[in-house]
Amino acid sequence: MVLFQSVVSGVLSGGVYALLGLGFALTLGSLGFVNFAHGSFIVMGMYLAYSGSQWLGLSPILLAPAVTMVLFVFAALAYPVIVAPTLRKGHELQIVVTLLLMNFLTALYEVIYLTDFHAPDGQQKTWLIHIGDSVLAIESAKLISFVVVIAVTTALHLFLQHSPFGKFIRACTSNPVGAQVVGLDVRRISWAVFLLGSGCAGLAGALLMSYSVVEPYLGLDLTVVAFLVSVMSGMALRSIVYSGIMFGVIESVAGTLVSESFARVAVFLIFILVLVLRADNSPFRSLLGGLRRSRRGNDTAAAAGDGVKS
Amino acid sequence: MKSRQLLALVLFAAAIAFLIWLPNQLNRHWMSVLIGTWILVYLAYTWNIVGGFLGQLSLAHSAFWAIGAYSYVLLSSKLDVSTAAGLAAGVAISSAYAGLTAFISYRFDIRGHYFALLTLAFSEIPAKLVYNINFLGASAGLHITTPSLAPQTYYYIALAMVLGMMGITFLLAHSRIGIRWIALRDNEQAAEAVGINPSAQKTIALILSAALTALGGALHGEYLHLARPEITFDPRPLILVIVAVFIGGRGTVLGPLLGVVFLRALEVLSSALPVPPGRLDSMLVLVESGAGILLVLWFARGRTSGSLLDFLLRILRLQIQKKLAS
Repeated sequence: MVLFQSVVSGVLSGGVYALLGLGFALTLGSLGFVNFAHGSFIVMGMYLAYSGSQWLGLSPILLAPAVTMVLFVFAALAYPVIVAPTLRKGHELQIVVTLLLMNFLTALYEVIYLTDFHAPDGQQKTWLIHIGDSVLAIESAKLISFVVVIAVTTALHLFLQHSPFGKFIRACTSNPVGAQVVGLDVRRISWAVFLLGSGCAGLAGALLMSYSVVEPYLGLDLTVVAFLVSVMSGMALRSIVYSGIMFGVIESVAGTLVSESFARVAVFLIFILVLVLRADNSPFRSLLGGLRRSRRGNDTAAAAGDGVKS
Repeated sequence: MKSRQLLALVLFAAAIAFLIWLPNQLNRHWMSVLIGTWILVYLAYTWNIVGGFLGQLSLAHSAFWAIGAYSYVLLSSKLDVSTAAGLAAGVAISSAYAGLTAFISYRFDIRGHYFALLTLAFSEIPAKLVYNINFLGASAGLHITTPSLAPQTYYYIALAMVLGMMGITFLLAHSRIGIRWIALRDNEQAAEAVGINPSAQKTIALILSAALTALGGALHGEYLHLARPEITFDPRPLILVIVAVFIGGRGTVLGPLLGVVFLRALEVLSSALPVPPGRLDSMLVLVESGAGILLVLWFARGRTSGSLLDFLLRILRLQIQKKLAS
């Protein structure tokens, strides 16, 4: 029963993990941009939701749309400074610049909020469901977040599959040169995708804030989670919800069976395992399908490999 | 050409003489700033072996660093074995760990940002595990109980280690192996075509770099007289060092020194800013990383990436040409 409880709560937190991965996968898959500061964007969403709920007395979930809007604006400002100059310059530069951005944002949070933990206000509502003689507890904030995430990812999926603009984005993802040749404005589409990815980060942050605590140093861990979920799903939006949920369940069960701090170690162990299993020359590759390398990376070997394939 | 080499040698000797004379003139605060700077410069040189010469963006170095620090502090505080044994244990464990990291990354051909994330995982696993190991003091960490040495001693040890690393970097840059590594960085396929084995070379470089990094970690542990998870495993010095190598000039002999000294100077200058108490450290990081972003982007704006070293050399050359013209 304890195990069942932890599976259920893992599934519920998995929804938000899927949203973390979704924003990351959008920017990585479509722009070939590795954003190590993605986790810090999420933390920004958390702090915005926290301050907003302190100030207005509303729940962080109700503030989620506003937080997402703020992140859109922030991303629109950050794009010309951080993303545009590094887009076709290879992964090393992107990693260094976004690591610096992460440092910068973390220091900014420290200056504003100091290094304390901040928890959402008020008592967390928990619903108890009686099954036989045992009780299943469901945190309402987690459940609402899960529902919101499912709604948003479904809407995003439909948007990408069916709307004209979504088709443009997918065209740029699968073949940027071809997209440019047929007259798409690749730069503007990259801009829009970066905004979309950062908006996802903001939404995820606001949802996370409704049931968990925030501190300045969360950024790196959240980036790892986002990367992990997106790599597990092979950058495919279709499977990202499943891998988010899978990850949530693994983390929650590892936390219950061993210990909370082991769950953090388990995250990284799973991450190494996933990278090894998905590597292009892994003997287990046929089980999962290979990593799809970003096409615009200046990594010579990867670029040459892509050239041979196409 | 001969006279220029002589000039460089004379300048180098003068700089060393100045640095040896310097500590007697400084108070405690400036000594700690300088020692901290030398320790970072040392880390920059060891990271430069992998990140500069080979272009492998390794984030596992904070684990190699911490392994060195923990082995040294553990052996010299709790078990009371000789200093040499502590250093040797750190180097051995760190090399073995680097070997494991290299095996997994290169056997499965994990590269680019996947390599960066994989090495991040390798640095975070021990960082999270150490909280659960009572033997290593869990979250309280370990302390060395013997009294610490005079700041001058630490200064000279750190200076000697930095000079040693500069020597190693110089030898690497002028030997076949260093040239092989730069060839691999610039074009892996071409390098492979002329008979360089990428995974073997990268593995050697990572293990060498990890062994040297562990020595730096041991010095850091000895200097602070402790090893504690949030200090010893702090990823921020490593990020600073990576940026310094990028700004200063990757795979060069003077680049890492220039980069770190530049960023530290910025930090010292910005510590004069009026900041509410208790937030000074964060403010320094804020200024440093903001300036770092702008500088890295500035140097990367052209088709080929520049560096502080290139910039200084260009100015120097212009001055010489002006002198000759007049």
